[in-house]
Amino acid sequence: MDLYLQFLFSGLTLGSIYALIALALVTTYNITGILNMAQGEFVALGALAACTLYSAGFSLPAAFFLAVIATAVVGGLMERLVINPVRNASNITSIIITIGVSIMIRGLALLIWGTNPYSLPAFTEGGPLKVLGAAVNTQSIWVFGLLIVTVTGLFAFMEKTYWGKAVRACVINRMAAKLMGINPYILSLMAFIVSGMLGAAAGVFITPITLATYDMGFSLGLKGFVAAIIGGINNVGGAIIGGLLLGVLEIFGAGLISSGLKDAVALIVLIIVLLLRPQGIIGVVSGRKV
Amino acid sequence: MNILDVNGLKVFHGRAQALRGVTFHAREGEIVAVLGANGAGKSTLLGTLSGIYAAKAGEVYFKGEPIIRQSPGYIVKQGLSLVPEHRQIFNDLTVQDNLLLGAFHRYIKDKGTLSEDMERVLGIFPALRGRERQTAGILSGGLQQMLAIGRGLMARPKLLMLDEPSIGLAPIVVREIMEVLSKLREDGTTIILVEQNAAAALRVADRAIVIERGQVIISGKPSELVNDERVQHAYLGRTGGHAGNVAVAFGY
Ligand SMILES: Nc1ncnc2c1ncn2[C@@H]1O[C@H](COP(=O)(O)OP(=O)(O)OP(=O)(O)O)[C@@H](O)[C@H]1O
Ligand SMILES: [Mg+2]
Repeated sequence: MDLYLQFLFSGLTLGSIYALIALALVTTYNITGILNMAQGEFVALGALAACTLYSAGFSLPAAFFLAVIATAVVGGLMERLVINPVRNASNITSIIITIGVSIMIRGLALLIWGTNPYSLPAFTEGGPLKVLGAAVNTQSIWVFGLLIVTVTGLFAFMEKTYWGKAVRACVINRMAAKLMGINPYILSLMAFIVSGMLGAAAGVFITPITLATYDMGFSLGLKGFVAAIIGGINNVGGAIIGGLLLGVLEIFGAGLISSGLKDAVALIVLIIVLLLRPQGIIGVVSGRKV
Repeated sequence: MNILDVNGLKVFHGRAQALRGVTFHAREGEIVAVLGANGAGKSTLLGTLSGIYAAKAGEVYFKGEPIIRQSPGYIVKQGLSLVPEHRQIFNDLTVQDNLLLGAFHRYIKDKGTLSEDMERVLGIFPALRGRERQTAGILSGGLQQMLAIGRGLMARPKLLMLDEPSIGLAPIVVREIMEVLSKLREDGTTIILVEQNAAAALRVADRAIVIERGQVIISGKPSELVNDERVQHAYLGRTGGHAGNVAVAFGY
């Protein structure tokens, strides 16, 4: 019983990171129609940058904020330099371009940081907390907190603010939004900047648990993508549930069956979902295309 | 004075040419009806004037200023609004949010006037009053059309263009909308009204043009048009003799 609970908490921690990545993917997709396959690379960049800044003497919060800003700049540059110039290209072309960007970022990260893992201290000191008999380390709570804060913030922005409604208008009907003077290209830029910030934040929060390496973004990006597909690719709530579910399934699969199975779980889940419910588990079937 | 001058406008969708040199104008404070059969290029014309489609050639002057190849955001800011074909309201948002977003281009500078303008729109379309918090997508077709027009008015247009506002609506709703357009004209708004419903459009229009295969083939006063054989021809394709009754309907 305690063991299962332990698995569940570990799974939710991992799943929170997947959920954050999926959230960024889905938001970008809804606004721009583009699946950003470089989203995982934002996670790696944020994590590695924070490690470097921290070891250079910055405090942990300062390293965090600078890493988030730097990655936001990378996201913004990516949009201006490679996404915006091909805005009339087909979606498949855009996806291939984002894959190219992810390979390039990973290559640069390898040059800058090498293959060694980097680490950050846990945000708060002290041993694991006992929750219902299972041990939960404090960093997991930080990770879970990041997800809650992000989701709440995004929800409040989209539902309660004028600018958030302008973004939703653009998702609902791009042409009509343009007629109102809402500029989809500025929203596209914003989406990539926010994706950079979200990715970097997730990377910094997870590093005390998993360490940071130049290639961590590949598998994280893939898992976030699977989580988004599970949720139905254009559904924010679905992406969060998909991420948490995937994290939990992975840990249970690794713990109960074989640790070699961990990465296969995502692909198995993806195939099952695509076969049984291609519209995702939350699945409002939607032909909407922005 | 002409508020809008269009000269030799040519527009392509991919390789297909939708407008083959359209020339027409609108004087300040009049209603210009734009008639034409399916696929004649009416929506392409309005979309191009609004900056949605790019013109290959031609000139567009709004209030004497060139607006061709400007962005939709710039054009709506100058005072030219389009109420697009099929309403295109923001389905998942509330009536109120739809209206407020209509004023997007002046939200930063002019936030304070939004509620005042919304009050004005609710005065023009009383049927929308009390439904501000309803989701736009669940409204009836007539209310959605009123909302689409109201959203267009929130931009404070000098020139309001409407693309087939009467389509699919009951005759009584069509009459109500046409009355609103007449009233807006009296308040000084210039209107370009694209319609398949020639009878309804010609009843309120000061002038009309007929577009066929991307060109203006006729222009004149409604009284001249209703007796023109070619007008009836342009409508036979779709309304099956409906236009033949236009003259009767008008008592011409
Ligand atoms: N986005 C588009 N892509 C390709 N072709 C288009 C597009 N929009 C319109 N067309 C074509 O351009 C021509 C003019 O279309 P347009 O919609 O302007 O006509 P319309 O007069 O508004 O017709 P309707 O009365 O059916 O609304 C048609 O042949 C149409 O098929
Ligand atoms: Mg049309």
